[in-house]
Amino acid sequence: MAEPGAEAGAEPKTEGEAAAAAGTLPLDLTALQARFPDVAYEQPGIDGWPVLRLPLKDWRDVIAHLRDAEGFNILVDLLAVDWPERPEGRFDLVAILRRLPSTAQVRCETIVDGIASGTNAAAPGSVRVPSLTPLFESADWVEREVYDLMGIAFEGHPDMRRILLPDDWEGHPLRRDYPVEGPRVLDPTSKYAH
Amino acid sequence: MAVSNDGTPFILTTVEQMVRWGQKNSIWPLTMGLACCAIEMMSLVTARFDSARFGAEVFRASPRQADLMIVSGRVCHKMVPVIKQLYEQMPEPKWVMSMGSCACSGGVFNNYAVVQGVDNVLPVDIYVPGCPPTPEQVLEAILRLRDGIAAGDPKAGLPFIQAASIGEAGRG
Amino acid sequence: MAETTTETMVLNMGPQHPSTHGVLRLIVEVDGETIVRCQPDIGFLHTGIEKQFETHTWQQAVTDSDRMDYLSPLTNNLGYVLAVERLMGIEVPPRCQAIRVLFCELSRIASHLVWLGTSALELGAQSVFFYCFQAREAILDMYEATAGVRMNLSYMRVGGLMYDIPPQLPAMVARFLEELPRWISDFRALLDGNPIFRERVQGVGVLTKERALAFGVTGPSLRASGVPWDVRKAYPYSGYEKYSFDVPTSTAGDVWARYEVRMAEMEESGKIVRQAIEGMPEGAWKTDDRKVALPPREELHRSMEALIHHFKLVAQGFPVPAGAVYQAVESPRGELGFYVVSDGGTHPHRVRVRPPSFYNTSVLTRLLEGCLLADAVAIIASMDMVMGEVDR
Repeated sequence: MAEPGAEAGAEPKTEGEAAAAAGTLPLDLTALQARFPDVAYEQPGIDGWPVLRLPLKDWRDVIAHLRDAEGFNILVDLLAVDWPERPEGRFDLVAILRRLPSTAQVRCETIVDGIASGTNAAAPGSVRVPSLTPLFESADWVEREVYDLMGIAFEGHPDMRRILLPDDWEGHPLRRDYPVEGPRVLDPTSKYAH
Repeated sequence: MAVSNDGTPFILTTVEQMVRWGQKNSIWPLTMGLACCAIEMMSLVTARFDSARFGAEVFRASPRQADLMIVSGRVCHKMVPVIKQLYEQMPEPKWVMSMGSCACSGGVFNNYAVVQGVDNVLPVDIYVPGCPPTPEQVLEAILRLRDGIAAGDPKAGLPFIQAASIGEAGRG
Repeated sequence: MAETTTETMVLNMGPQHPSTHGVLRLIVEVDGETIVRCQPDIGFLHTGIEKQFETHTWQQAVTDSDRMDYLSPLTNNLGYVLAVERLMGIEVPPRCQAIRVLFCELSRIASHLVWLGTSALELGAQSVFFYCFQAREAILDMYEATAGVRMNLSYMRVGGLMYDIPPQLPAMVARFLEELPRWISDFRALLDGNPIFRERVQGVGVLTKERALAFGVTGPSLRASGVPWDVRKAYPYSGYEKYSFDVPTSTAGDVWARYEVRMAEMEESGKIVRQAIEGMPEGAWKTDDRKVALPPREELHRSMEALIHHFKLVAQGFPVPAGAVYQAVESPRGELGFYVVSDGGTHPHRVRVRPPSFYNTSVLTRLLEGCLLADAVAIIASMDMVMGEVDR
């Protein structure tokens, strides 16, 4: 019977774990932290890849540094996680970067707070996250998706519109406080309430 | 059948029956694939199921040439205006088949994005449950639709869910 | 003499269009026959699947994953269950791993068959479509014998599988593997030497390596542009490191290259299927961790503990330790990633899917520029997107 964590002592599976086991890092942490002192580094966790926790103000600059100085050339994915009750801030914004052709991968996480709740999240006054579109072309659609479903708007994005839902949709469904049934619960008179 | 004075056999019928006979034997579905069910809808015309046996294999890309709209999959709010317009573009007589649980009732997706049954936006003639229904089930539905058309009852499909249990209807 | 003025025309293609692989809508600006600009419009199949994950227990949520990429539901299942198993620290038995690999590769072949049939159909080669679907029926028969349905199997479970494979499956697989090379050579005979097909795909829709990487394109479309990136090789999962197979690549990056890569992939998948079925280990097909897997039926009549476990698992599900993992698998379309977040409860807190088709579709904005309108059909087909996955 497999105990949870039983494979922790097994041979390393990813380059991140291997590097951690060898006492090396998949990136030059000293240079990174010299430039950005607020960046925290976390050893590879259960999925074998290290995590960089950055403050929101450094979001684009750290990722630009990782791309230009460290060679992380692929934005694998960008996503947001909603924690409505969390005191440190409501949203986690996560970017997964990869250095091809090697298998090195790093996850950048930041906390986004100060976004208006309720239906119109891109309301004036809400915090805007610097867009990654100048760095990665793949950020274009995925940032629109984060905006559409989570309601985090990106500063400097060329086309900040909804991508999956109709343009006149109210609210951002992937937020935890958005009811699953959506308009049927929120507004039975809505044309989307059937 | 009768025989005329000079010995030629002939058939007596009404124009209406003649037309219905033609309609039921040439149901042309609209090429409109939405989701998973669309793949099973494609299987319908292939060698194993061969809906050509019942005259329903001519999938038309243009709604103006189609008789039957198979709503094959979940209908999302963004898609509603599109399928409404397609339905309006189809010439009469026309029929709508709601294929799969999602089109029938929203299925597993009781959420903000999916219309809880395409019958909220279109008049449905026949419902086919399943996730996705097997092509045999869809063939059964087409056969019942043919019977309905021949009987002159455009909603002939409705007894499909009212009278028949899913177990009887779905041989899959 | 007055100067001739020209103006561009905006065309709408889809969402109901026979060659947009579902409900993709393209807003195309054309100058004569040449595409100047293309703006894909997606979301016509947005199903709220990521939200739906949060309403189900960890085990129930497997059914949600099927319905994204419905051409290879088992790959979706696998990505999700691997992510949850990683969060929980569960190792599944070797037999379970081999069965998972077997079915993932079968669904890769099935998915590529649908791609081949529909793309050929869109280019006017109708008979290929019929042959492909006939070959696919053999795989669907195996699905049906194993899980009871032809599509959307939900066959995998966190901690194992739904059932063991049925006794007749090895013979079915053997017969399929015997016929597969003949099928592939039939398809090739119909297409490779067909001058119309070659004219329409060779040199069309060239996706450069740089552009593919910049847009996050993965899977066969990336490998056809000369990047030998395959998650099965890069981050082996479910025992893929034990199988010997090649990763077919090409450097041309055009529609023909993507065709060649997928055709070669079908053969490679056949090899993996053969290794999986022939080297199938005996033993358990699910974990014996009673906190996750249901106890055997016969124990319920004897053991109070088993009954309690059964009741708890069915009534409320199992909790998963708090944390987040990113688990990638190689789906027929590319890198399918599951970023699963648990808050320690019995339901997922957030399941984010990295849909390969989403990124592969986003490159159309650039890829179609400068192409002929008629070539757009060939290019869209060659990217092999599934809208259920793009929109989720």
